[in-house]
Amino acid sequence: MSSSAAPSDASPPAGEPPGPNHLRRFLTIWIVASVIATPLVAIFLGPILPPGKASDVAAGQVTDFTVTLSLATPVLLLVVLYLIYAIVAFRQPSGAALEGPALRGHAGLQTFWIITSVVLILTLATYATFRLEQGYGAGSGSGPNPLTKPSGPRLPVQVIAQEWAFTYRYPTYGGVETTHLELPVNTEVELHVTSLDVIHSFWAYQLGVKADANPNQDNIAFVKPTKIETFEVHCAELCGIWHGAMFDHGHVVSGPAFARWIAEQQRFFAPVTKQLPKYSRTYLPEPLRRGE
Amino acid sequence: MGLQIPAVPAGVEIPPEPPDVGARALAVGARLLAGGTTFFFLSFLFAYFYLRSIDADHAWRPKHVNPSTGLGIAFIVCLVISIVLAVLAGRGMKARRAGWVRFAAGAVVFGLATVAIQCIEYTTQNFGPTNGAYASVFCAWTAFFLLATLGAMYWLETQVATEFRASRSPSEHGDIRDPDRLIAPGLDAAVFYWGYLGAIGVITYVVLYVI
Amino acid sequence: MSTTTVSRTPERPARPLWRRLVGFNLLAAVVLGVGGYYFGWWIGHLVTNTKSFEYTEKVDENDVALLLAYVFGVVGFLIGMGFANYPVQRLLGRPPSLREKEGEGVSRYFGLCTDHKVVGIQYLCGIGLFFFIGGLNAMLIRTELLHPTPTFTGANQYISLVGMHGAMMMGMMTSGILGPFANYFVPIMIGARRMAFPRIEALTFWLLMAAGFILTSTIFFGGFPTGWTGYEPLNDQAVMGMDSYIIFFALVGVSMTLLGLNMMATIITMRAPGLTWSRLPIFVWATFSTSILMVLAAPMLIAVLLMAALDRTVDTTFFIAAGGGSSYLFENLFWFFGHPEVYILALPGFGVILELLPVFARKPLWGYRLAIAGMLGVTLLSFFVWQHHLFVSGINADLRPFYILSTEIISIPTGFIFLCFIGTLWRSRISFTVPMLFCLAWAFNFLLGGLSGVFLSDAPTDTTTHGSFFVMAHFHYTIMGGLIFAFFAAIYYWVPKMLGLNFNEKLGKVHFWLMFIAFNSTFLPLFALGMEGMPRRASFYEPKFHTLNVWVSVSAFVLGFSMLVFLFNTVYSFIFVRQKAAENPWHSKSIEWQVPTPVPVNNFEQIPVFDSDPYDYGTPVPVGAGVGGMGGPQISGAGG
Repeated sequence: MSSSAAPSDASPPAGEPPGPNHLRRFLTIWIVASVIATPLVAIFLGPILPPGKASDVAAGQVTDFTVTLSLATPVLLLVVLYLIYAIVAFRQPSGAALEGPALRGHAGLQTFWIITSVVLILTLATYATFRLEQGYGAGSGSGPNPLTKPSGPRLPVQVIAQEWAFTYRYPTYGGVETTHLELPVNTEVELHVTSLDVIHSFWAYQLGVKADANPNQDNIAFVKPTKIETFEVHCAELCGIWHGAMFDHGHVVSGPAFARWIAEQQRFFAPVTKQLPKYSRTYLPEPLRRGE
Repeated sequence: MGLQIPAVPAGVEIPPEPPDVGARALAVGARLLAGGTTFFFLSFLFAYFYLRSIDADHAWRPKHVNPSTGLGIAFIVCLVISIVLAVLAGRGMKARRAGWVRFAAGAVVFGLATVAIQCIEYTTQNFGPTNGAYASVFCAWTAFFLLATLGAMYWLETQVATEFRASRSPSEHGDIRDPDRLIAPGLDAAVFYWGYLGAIGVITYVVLYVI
Repeated sequence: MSTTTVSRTPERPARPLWRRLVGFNLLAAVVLGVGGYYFGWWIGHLVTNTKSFEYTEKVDENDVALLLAYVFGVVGFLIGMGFANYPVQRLLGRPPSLREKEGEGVSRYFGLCTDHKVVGIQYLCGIGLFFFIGGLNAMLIRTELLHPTPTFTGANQYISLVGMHGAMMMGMMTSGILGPFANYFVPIMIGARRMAFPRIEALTFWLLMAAGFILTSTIFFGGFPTGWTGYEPLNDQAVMGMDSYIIFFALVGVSMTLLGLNMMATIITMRAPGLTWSRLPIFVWATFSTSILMVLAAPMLIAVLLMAALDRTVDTTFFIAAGGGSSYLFENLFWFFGHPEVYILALPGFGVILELLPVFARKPLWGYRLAIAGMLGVTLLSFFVWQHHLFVSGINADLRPFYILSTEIISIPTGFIFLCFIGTLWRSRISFTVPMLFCLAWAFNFLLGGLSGVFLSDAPTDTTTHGSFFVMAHFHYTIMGGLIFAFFAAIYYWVPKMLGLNFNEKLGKVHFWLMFIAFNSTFLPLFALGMEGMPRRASFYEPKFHTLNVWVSVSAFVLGFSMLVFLFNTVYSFIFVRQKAAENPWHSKSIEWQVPTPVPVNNFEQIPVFDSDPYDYGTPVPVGAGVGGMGGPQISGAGG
């Protein structure tokens, strides 16, 4: 299968000036673009990134998004600018049948690429792990035994998911179960997410919390809301036909307002609370039967 | 329709293939199939240990759920005999000892016996698939192992049947030149796969009946 | 030495029509399939007509009957097609044989044919059909999402559409490149006359067709509510349509396992003399890597689906917590398959792109060994990352740092592919043919897809992006922007060889530009939608997302229209214009372009002898000359 390529048309005939130094050109373009774009991304795009700063974990995620996006920007620019450069500079002239140089590799470049990508990846992975544990799970559901827990008093709130609504139980307030979530501002909250039937997922967007609700599992997430505002609650795991309708709005309110609210809830739901099962980390209703 | 599908030119001739091509394919194919089978049963092994470790609702293994020890021993004995006979058949065939085919036939018989024993077990055991997670894993794992065994027995049987027929009337050239020379690698591949599946069966027995 | 003649001699009189219709063919397959279906249905009702199955009588939901009906239907279908003939012959001791029905004209495309080229074309048409059905589902989904609350679909219909779209695409496109193009060209590229197991070859195709048909039949049984991932315990709770999904995916799993097994056996055992591993075309290497994943991962899918079927029928409790089971068991087993699955989708795309690039850049493939290292690295690592799908699901918190690391690491071999892409284009001479346009677009799309994956692999940022439209955008960029663009590149590149007819180039370019622009217009905003808090698989969304969703839906309609342009091109070029293709229109040095068009049934007069890889393009460069100012050792000249 070997054939020797005809060398006649490929390189410029002797005596003509050599072609432009593509490497220097492209590297210049890329470095300049990266130096301009990366700070712009970090400074201007970063602060407005989701999910906002309404809680400590959400603010942490904004930082993580910003850092990751800033590290990704030069990589994105490298490939996109290279594509554009190649399309412009390395064309086959119309009607010609020229060939490029028969280059099959470059040990130095390959080594450099491998080392750089390993360094970049290890940096990202270390950063992500550090931020995950420093942030006590960074708002994600960390299972029944989280690795790191915030110190100090925490308000336990149980999120009970079922087809197709979330209810919220406050064990330190007599185990009252409410239909809306209200949280006091600047208080560390320990969310216990569980399900009564199928897999759901509790996603409080502005709070930066997402924890799956599995039957017979207690999924713990930590969050400390820092702003008084309304947040969206969505179910983020397909749980049946009304999954799309399984959303709600929760509120972060001041301490006194929360105390008033929870007292009102306890009073209002008192007859119901008497009939509820005792507070427990998981509840095991009857096994599912199809068709009922 | 005006679409022209390239037709096979008339009178084209494809030379019959030497049998060693098929022999290599059979050897590699048997090993690949063994790899796939491993991962299939790995799922059940994982399910066993995972569900046992969480023991959800204390429903892993209710007290009365116990497969019959006697039938279990009968199962593993027949399995081991079948594997041994298959290996002996393979060795005998390589050493060109006439009569290897009887070992192979015996391997098939004992393999089918394991299937029969497991079926008897299903009808006599004191639990069903609804009696907890262990019972679920037990019924499913053994059932699919049965099906795999039937497949392996079919494979061994084809080699036995081919040898019986070929010893009476040798095959003529077809797509493959001298196709009877494929019996040896075919048996080799089948014996390899059955031996491998048998090892999985031993693990099945140990996990489900012993520990 | 006697030879095998495969064509009919012209003197034999044509048989009467009825005589030609009776036999093991598609008609018999359909008849026996329908018969088997009703037989299974009947048996299922017989078996469940006992006290322990009372609930099925009460609610008229007989999963046992439906599952048995599907199983017997498929068995009947395969028997009618003729797949049982050879096993029965072997049971009776008849000698082994290789070929069936390779010489009967057009009808061989509609039945069991052991010619790998026929199977390749069958796959192309069959997968194309189901790709369009899946695409139609997508159009319906986007129509529903034009409005923040459901308009024309009921709640169950919407999530069934979502599930059907996802399942169809994931099930069909895993064989999207291997099925048509690896089947057709791998034997030719390695200098062989056939695949290792030709009947199993044909079986994988017909299993996939039966599977696709079964999935579409879910609409008659109420659809399924779980999406393509089939999560328990919702799976257990679902109506009968769930069984269609289970059988569909189990058949796809069997088809994938056998396809991968066949490819690996072929590549390992049937290479022509001189074709060492380091001279293999990169497409063959990609096929090989993908096949490793198929053989090992697909059986786990089959196992987990069988467990789900048992939970639904005989009430085992694999996944029901109150019976000792666990929803996490399903998630772990499914994703242990599911993550290699997405690399099964991505790797053939890598192979196609790197195979085509040298032809249209007129340079050898740069970093051949690096590319192989990348593919094999991805293959190996893909088994160690699956729990990144479960970061927020309450898995043991100790495990997460490991999976963050492993998922990040898998981007390193993926990066090798990009470096080879970059190196091959460096100082090349690019011809902007339609296949090349798709290759260039692949790089852009897969880049965005891959980079967005970083936000998902880092658990803190995954907290917001998991289960949102961000994930949707990520995997559509990698799978559709990556694989499907490579799929079309392969079609425009190789179909002139397969059918001997040219596509219309202008229409091809219209298709490309419409598709590329519409694709990005559809999926780029989804990153924003996801980050702004829109969960996936939901037909309700916050009113603030309305405008952007309308934009996305309209773009999706344009994307769908671009597919119609492609279809029009196909019909126009292959039925009306029928311009004969040259034997080597792309001036490729790869061996499949050196054989005549149409490819003869035995592929080669004589088995070729190889002495180099197929990337002998470009003018030789003096060693040590440096590249644009970069000195240092280089590897140039013919590969060895």
